[in-house]
Amino acid sequence: MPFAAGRGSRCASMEGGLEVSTVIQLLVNSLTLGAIYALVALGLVLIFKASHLINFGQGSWVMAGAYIALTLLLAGLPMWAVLILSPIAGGVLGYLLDILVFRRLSKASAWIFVVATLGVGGLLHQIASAIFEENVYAFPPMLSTEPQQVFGIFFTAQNLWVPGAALAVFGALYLFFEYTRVGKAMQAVAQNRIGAQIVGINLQAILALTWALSAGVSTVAAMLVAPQVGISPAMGLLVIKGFVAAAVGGFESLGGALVGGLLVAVVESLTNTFVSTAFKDVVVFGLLLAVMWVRPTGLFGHAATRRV
Amino acid sequence: MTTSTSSRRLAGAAVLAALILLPAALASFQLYFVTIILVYTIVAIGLNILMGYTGQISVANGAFMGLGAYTTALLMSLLGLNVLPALVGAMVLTAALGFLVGIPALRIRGHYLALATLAFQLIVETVIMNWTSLTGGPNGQKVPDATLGPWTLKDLPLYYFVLLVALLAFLFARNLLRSRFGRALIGIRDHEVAATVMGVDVTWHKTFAFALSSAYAGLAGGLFAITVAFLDPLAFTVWESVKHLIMVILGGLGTLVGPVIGATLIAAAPELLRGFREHSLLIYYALLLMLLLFMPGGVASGLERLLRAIVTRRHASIATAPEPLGTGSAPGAKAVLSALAPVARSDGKPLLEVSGVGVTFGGLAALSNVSFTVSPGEIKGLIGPNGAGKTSMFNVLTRVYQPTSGSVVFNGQELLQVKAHEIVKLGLSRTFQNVEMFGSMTVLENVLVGMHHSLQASLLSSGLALGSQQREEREAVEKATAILKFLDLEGLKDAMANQLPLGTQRRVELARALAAGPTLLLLDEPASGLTHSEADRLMADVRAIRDSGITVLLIEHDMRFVMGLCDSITVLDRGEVICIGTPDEARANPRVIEAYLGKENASHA
Repeated sequence: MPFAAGRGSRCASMEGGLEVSTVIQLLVNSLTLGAIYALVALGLVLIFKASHLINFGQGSWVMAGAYIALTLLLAGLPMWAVLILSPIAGGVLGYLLDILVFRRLSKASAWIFVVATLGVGGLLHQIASAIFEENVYAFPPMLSTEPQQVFGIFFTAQNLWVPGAALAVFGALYLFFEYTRVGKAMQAVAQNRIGAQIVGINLQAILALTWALSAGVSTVAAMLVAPQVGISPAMGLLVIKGFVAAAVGGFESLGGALVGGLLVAVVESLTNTFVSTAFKDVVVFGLLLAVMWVRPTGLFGHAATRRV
Repeated sequence: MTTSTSSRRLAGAAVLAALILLPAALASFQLYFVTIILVYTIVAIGLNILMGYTGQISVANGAFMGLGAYTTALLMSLLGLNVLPALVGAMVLTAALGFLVGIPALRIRGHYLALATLAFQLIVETVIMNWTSLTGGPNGQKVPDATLGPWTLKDLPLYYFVLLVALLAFLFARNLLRSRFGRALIGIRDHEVAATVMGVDVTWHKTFAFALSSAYAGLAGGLFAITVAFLDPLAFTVWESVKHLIMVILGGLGTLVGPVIGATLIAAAPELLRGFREHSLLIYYALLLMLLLFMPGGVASGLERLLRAIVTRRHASIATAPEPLGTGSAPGAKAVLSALAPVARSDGKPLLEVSGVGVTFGGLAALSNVSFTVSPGEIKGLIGPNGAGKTSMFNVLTRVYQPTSGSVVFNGQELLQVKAHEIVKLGLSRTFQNVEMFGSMTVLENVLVGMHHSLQASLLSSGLALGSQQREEREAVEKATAILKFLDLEGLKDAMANQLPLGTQRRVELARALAAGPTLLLLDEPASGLTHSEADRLMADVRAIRDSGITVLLIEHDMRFVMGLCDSITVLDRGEVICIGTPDEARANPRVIEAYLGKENASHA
C-alpha cells in the first residue's frame, strides 16, 4: 500500500475501533493523499475548463513531471532549484504537446481527442521506459519524516508539507484567475470561446498556456508524491484516482478539485482500514462509475443542456 | 457497383483460401502467431461495431477480453465444461456486463462515457489482480487443454478452429451491419434526433451495440486463453484497451475490412518490427498519434476513398447537371406512396388536433395555448415571423419536446403518451429545418432508414442473412427506389449524402420522410435555400404527395410557396396563434401584417 503517510500511520489500526482519535488519524493521513489527488484533479480541471475535454493521459503527465525533476536532481541542482525549475520545464512540455498534437485536433470529434490524449499518455510512458527502464528511483522528501505526536495523533512534517504545498498551488491559481489579466482571459475562454475571441483574446495562446499550467501542476503533484512511492514509469497509474476526484468534484472548478481530492482520499482510507486493502480500489473506481451513472457533472458542475 | 461487389467477393475468397492453405507453409510457432492475429481480428470487429458504427467510445475492451478469458478458463477448470459451452458462457457473461456498462451511454456521451468505461476497466483489473483464490492474482493461471471431439485444440486443429470462429464472427457482423441494424447504428452516430424520428429506438440500439462488442471481446478472450494456455492479468489492462483502439482506428473506423486490417497490422507488429523489438510500443503510440493527426479515417478509408474516386467520377456529371423539371409523375410512385401510408380516418373528424399546447423553457414561453386542427387530405401552412414557435410545434408533434400543457390527438390517438421513436409508426413523419442527413450513408441507405420501423427482420435473421430477411431487404430497396424515382433522385442513389448540394439533400430528406409511410407529413421550411426553379419543382412534388393521399403540414417563409400551395393557414407569433384561415384571409388580417411588418403598416391594410 504505497500511501502510508510516513511512519506515523501505524496507529491507524483496528484496535481503536471507531474511536474519535482513530477517525481523526485517518483524516490526517488522508490529507496527504487528498492533496495529491486534488492536484491531479486540478490538472484535469484546467484542461476541461478551457476546452471541455478530458485529458485521459494525465497520469502519464505526472510521471513525466517526476522524471523531469529526477533529471534535474541527478544533474546536481540543489533541491530548491529543482522545486522551482521542474514545474516550469513541465510546463514547457505541456506547451510543446499542445502545439504538436492537441492544437491540430481542436476541431475533431470527442473520441479522436480521447484517443489522442491516451496516445500521448502512452507515448510518454514508453519514452520514460525507454530512457530510464523499469527501475524505481528514490526521491528525497522535502521535510522531515520523523513522526511527531500532538494530542495522540501522529504525523510528520512531510505530512504537512504536502497539503500545504498543494493549498499554496490552489491559492496561487485562484489569485491568478481572479486578479490578473491573463487569468481573466482564461476564464473568458472557458465561458465563451467565440465571445472571448471577438474581444481580442488570443485563443491559441490561452489554450497553450492552459496545457502548460496543467503540466506544471502535474509536475508539482509528482514532486510531492515521489518521496513516498518512488519514481517509475508505472507512477501514472497510482494517481489515476485523481480522475475520480475530478469527476466527483465536477470538472469545472478549482474548489471542486480540492473537495473531490479530499473526499476520494477519505473514502479510500476508510475502506482500506475498515474493509480491506484489496477492496479500496474497487470502491474508489466504483465511486467514479456511480458518479457517471447518477450525476456526471459531479458535485459542483452544471448539467449541460442539449440543443435540438 | 456490381463489378466492385464481385471483385470484393473474389478478394475475400482469395484471402480465405490463403488462410486455409497457410499452415502448410508455416512453422509451428509462426502458426501460433497467426492464430493470435485471428483472435485479435474478432476483438477489432466487435469494437468497430461500437466505435465505428454507433459512434460510442469504450476504454473497457481490455477488461471484457480479460473477463472472457478468465471465465472460459475457469468454466473449463472448475466446472469441467467443454470448450464450446465455456466460450458461450464467457460470451453471455460479457454481453450482460457490456449491457450494464452501456447504460451510462444513454445519458452521457463522449468523454464522460469514456470515463465510465475507464472506471469499469479499472474495477475489473483490480478484481482480477486481487481475487487470488479465483484468478491466481498476479501469478496468473494455467488454462486446461481444450478438446473438441477427437481433436485436442493445439497447433493445427486450434488454428482451424479459431479461423472458423473468426470467419463466422466476421460474416455475422457484416450481415448485421448491412441490414437495417447497421443503418440504424450509423443513423445514431450521424444524427441521433433524426434517427429517433425515423423510428430508431436509440436506447435499445446503444445498449445492444455495447453488449455485442463486449460479447465479441469476450469470445476473443476465451480463444486467447486456450491459445496462449496461460492467463496473465497484465494482458488485460487499460493499455490493452488502448491497443484495441489503435487497431480499429488504424484499420479504419466504420468499415467492414478496417478491423481486419488494423488487427493484423498491430498484432503482427512485434514480428514486423523485429529490429525495434524493445521499442515496438513506442512506435505504436507514435503511429497512433500520426494517424489521428493526418489520417483519422485509417487505412481502409484511404482505400475506400480511392475506390470511390474512381467510381463516383461517373456519377459526378449527374450531380452537377441541371435539375430536370418533370412533375414526378412516375406512375408507380403514387401507388407506392399510398401503399406505404397507414389509413387516415374518414369520419370527417380532423386528422390532427392540437389543443392548448404550451412549452416553456425556463422563463420563456416558446408556445402558449396553441390550438389548431389539420383536416385529412389538406395542405396546411404554419407560418409566422422568426421565433414564433413553429419548429417548437413540430418538435412537440414528434415528441422531441415535452409540452408543459395541452394535448395532441393524431388519428384519434393521444400523442403525448407515445415514445419519440414510436411516433413514426402511427403515421407521422417529418423533415428538418437544418437538413439532418445521415452524411456517411448513401442516398438509398438514407431512404431505407425511413423504412426502419416497417421492417420486421430480427437481429438473428439479419446476422445470419436468412432468406426471409434478404427478401425483405430486396422489397425495401424496390420501394425506396420507387420513391427516389418519384423525386428524380434515382440516378444518385449510390452517392454519399454529405457530398450533395443543399437542394438535392432536401429532396433526399423528403424521400426519407416519405419512405416512412406517413399519413401526415411535416415539412420544416422545405423551400429554404432553394432556387426559384427548385422551389417550383418542390411545389409540384408536394401537390403530388397530397394527391397520393398524404396530408401535409408545412412551415415556410416563402410566401409565394405558401400562398400557392396551402389550403389553410395557421399563423403563430411569439408562441401564440393569431390567425386561422385561408391564405387570402391571413394575408388581409391586420394582426398578421403587424406581426410581420410592424404596427404602422397594419392600419394601411
